[in-house]
Amino acid sequence: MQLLPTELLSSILAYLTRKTLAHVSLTSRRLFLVARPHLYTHIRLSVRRHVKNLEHYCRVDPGLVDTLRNHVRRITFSCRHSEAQWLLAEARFLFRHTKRLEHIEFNGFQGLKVEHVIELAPLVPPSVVSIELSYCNLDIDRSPPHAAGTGIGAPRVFIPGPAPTISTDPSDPSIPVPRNPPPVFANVTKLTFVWTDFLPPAIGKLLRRLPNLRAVSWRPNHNRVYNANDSAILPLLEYCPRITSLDISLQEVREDSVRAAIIKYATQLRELRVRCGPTNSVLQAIAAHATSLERLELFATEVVRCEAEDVLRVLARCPQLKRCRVAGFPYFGRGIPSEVVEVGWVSVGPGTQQKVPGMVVASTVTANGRRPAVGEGQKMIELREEGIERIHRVLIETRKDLLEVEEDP
Amino acid sequence: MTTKVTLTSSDNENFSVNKEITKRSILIKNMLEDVGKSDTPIPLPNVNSKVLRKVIEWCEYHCMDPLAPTNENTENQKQNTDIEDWDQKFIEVDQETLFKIILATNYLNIKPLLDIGCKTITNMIKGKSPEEIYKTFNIVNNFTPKEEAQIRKENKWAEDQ
Repeated sequence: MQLLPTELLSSILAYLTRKTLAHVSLTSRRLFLVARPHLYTHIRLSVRRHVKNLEHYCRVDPGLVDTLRNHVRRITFSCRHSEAQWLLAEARFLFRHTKRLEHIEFNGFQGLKVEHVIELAPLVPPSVVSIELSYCNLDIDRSPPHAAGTGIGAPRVFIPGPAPTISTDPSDPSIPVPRNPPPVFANVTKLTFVWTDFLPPAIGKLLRRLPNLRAVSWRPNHNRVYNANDSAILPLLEYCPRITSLDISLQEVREDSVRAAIIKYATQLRELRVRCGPTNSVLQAIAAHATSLERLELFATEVVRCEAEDVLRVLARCPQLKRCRVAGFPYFGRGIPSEVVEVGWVSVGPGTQQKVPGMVVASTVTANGRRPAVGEGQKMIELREEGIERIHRVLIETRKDLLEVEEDP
Repeated sequence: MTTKVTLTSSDNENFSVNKEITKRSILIKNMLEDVGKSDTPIPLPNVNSKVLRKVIEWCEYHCMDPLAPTNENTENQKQNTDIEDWDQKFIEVDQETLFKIILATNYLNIKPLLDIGCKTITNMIKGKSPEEIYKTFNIVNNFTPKEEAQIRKENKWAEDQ
């Protein structure tokens, strides 16, 4: 081990988990110095005492400060026990040191107050470009508003005041004009929700602080609040005008909402991953509006009728498509013209798998080598560059009718 | 007809190898391109005959692999320390030889074999306690007890999974 030059040692350590890296750090001075940058690439904190330790050593150990500054790319706040609010409040010092931090993740918070997240907006370094919530429940702070601004962990004392008078007249001089706009996560371009539920007002408050969002990904959740998932899309359209990559994989979401998003972002969209409902209106909206797509993933939640025609229209009208994945459409393949079948689009079901250049049949294996999940494997087709190009060419020659835009009802 | 190239190890043993096979080593490939057509043996002063024999064995077995694989999914590969069966058997050598193979492939610039060597070391470290690690690799712990205690405390967060 002593024989190896540092760069080789470093590439060996790059494969290790943080726990083993911590062990390696304890074996010798040299290994400690080589392991440290790897260990601190991704900090994961869940216990208040650990945060306190780090804060202490930041004051006494310039080496640690240096490591934090140069190597931390990702911080995960992982909530266990009831330390949630302390964790976010007391780990803030990290943001002063981590000048290259890119990604902040909140994991496992059962009652994550959106106010506690947006309070971090003026504190996080400008290098932060991505926020992720996984296995959380995003909530709102129900304590009185005058106490909310005093910070996490501050004692909340209710002071009775006069009831607020609400005026909707824009010329009313009693409405204060906000002097400073609320702090936003100015450089955050990516928001990811993984198995995360939310209340409608909470998601609105969060999105308002993310005006430069380019990519949003809502993975499935268990949201039990009626229409909560739909309520996420309205503020998205209102506050986040720059979306180019949209992933709405939520199960409980209305077709109207998805459609509204596609119509709003239209040709700005480069990547889209959505579920299609029973009426095909999502497919039709894509074909009519989102014609600059480069990557498209479609999942059918319910039985989608006449899907072939609508999918073909998307393929004909999106000349820049490089990847297209279609999954879960039970009748997929029926109604596909023979010219298209000949160039490589085949109806794929169990037992009829055909290898065609530029096409991957995901029921065998998906693009990244992952086995498809149950229910997903039956009908999943992935078209890659070559396959799409050929299909596109055939379609614009033989099916000019597909290129005609249909007026939206 | 295949052209042969002669490689000379640090202990002056000559190995006559197919030219195509030697091109697995980017170092030798570049050397051959620079020199052009020549029958002069290529000296490899950093590699002894025992290690060179192993490296040639690996290159011969893998001569049909595509050259220079694309490093598209570096992020994926980072997590994956699986080694193919044949390579696994190939790399089952004593620790000294293992380190020498790693150093030799680093010098010869044979990336896939270097990766196998590095992954093997990684797999030897995985999941081990600090005591097990320095026993396995004969590392001399040169921390003072105070330093060790500080590092333990500072990195405590990393132990918590």
